[in-house]
Amino acid sequence: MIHLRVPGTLRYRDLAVRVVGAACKLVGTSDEATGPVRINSKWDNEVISAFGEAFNNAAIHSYRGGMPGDVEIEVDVGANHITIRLLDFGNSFDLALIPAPDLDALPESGLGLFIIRSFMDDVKYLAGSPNVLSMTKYLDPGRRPPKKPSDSFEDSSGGDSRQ
Amino acid sequence: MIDALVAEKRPTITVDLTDLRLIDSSGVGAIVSLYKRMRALGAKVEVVGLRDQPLAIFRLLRLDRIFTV
Repeated sequence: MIHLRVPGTLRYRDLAVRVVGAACKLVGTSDEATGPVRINSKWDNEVISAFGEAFNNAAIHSYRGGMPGDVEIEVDVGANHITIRLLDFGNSFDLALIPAPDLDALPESGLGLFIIRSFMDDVKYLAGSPNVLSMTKYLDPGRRPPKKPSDSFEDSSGGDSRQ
Repeated sequence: MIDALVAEKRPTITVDLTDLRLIDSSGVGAIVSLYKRMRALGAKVEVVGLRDQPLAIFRLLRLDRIFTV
């Protein structure tokens, strides 16, 4: 498990994105490998895109109106997946209340969760303190493990409308 | 910056993203905002140099309908 804790401000976004980007390159490689060997920039870019939006949401929305707190990032790298858990201690939101954007209307905002949901295979959010956004992407979605009942949370109570 | 670009009242603005490695929804929103404001003035916005992650985001958001990518 890779752990990173940074202030929940956009100043630290690039640092966190770089860590996740480096972690992506470990997915599907063996522990014995001396360095990353898998090259799938499209897959990596989709994970990085989703994570960047998640970090934005924590920095911009969770900590809006108050002192920014920290964001904790946990990255689990496997042979066929990457799971990123992003924890913040700010405002919560309700995933179920956030509609998909109307792309025909050329929206200028409200696209972050759409990008996350589009690029990641599993997305879960548990409101609380901390709020926990968990997202998983598989190299081969056909080999993803069956869902357990405990995986079923996709939302909890929440507050603001997130982008 | 977008305000200043629109105020110049050029017939076409070209946004060159050749050196851009990563874009997020806020960046896309700024380009879409520029496009809408220019379109309202009867002007055009072109986006060139899209590749890799920015291209994937533009395609996901179906912006390839309005920009040639």
